[in-house]
Amino acid sequence: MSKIEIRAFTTWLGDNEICYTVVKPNAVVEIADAIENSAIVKEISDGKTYPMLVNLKEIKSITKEARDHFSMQGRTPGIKAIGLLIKSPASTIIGNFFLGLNKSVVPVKLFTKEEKAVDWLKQFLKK
Amino acid sequence: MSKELDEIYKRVCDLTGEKVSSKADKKKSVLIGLKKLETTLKSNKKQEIENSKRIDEILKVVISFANLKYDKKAIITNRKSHFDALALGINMLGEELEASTISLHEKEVLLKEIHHRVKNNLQVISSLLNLQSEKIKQPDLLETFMESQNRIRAMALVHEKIYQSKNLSKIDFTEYVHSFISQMSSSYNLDPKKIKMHLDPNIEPHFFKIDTAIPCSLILNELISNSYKYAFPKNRVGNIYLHFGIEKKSKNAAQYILQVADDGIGISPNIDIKNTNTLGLQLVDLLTAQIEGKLELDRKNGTKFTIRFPVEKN
Repeated sequence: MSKIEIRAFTTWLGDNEICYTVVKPNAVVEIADAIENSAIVKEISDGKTYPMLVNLKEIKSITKEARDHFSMQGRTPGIKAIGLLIKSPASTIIGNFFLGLNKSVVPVKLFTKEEKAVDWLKQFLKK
Repeated sequence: MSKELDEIYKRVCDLTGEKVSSKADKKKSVLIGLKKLETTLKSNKKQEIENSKRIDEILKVVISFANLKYDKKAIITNRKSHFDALALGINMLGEELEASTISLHEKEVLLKEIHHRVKNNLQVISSLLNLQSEKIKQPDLLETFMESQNRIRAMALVHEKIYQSKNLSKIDFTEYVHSFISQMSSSYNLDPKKIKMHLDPNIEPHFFKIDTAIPCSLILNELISNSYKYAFPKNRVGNIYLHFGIEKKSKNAAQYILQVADDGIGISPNIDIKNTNTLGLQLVDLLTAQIEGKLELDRKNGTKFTIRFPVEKN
């Protein structure tokens, strides 16, 4: 499937039925970006639910409004679990906020390696 | 000299990571090495100063959050350093803190408003009873209405005190008692020359949660009303004594004591406070049990009710 690019994200549905979204280098994710990303995911999912891999490695920061939006997963019915890829200190901080203060209603886990994230997300394909 | 140069050469190679070579021009190598070290030292010093500045800046933001001011944000550069991550984390924590602080303030405002409305609603009920009582001729029925009004006003006063207090979960019951006595005296239209109310002006503040304050207010209402109504018939002159405070129960335990006494004609010996038909005394007995207290009656020299109940656990 072709990749959809917006200001802060690149998003696509993989052949392995996992939805991928990569945060662009040095992106400061704002609420408009978050809403746009949600709309794209909803469009891609087309009524079904998918596990999602979010690559945060190059993120610079994310606003509170955007964090609140992402933590309320009810607005994105297309997602059933989220694997967050982290590497930099900033992405580690942000990833941990999504485990705690901005906890999502779907399962979320942090990973430093994409293969392990994909392995974990695959368990949600059967559900 | 050669030995010393050898030593210096080896140590410089150690510090710069250069390989020691027996063929090297040692003097030249030492000079080059020292220049490298000088550059590194200068760069480190510069970095140290920059790090200090960043730490200072981040500390200022933390201090501002500690003062509940959230307009300051730590600077995040594109260098993706640990300082940038720290700055990011601090900013995000500040945002969450601000959101919950506002939320807490909003909740306090809402709680205050609720107590204010409860007080107002209770006063409305009391006024409705008052209006209704204007149509009543029978003295017994009128007295019943007045008793109900007084009970409602006693509870309304608790909510008013909570609304006025800084701590929305507790009231200063000592302050309540003072206000309550003024309210009661006005309600019964009492002539202070005939019935004197005695309350120790030096009672310390004691803070009760609403679960204790309401029963205590109703108990006080019943006991003082009874003294007003029955202790001093036929214009008899007398005194009502109110004592409230903490007393030691044992070495490590204390309890509250609430006493209402009068030097009136005394309560009838036929009345058993544990098995009475009187609504007022039934209420006192029930409410005392509600606050896990013990009720005692002393009939010597008038009437003295004593209620001892445990100090609230926090």
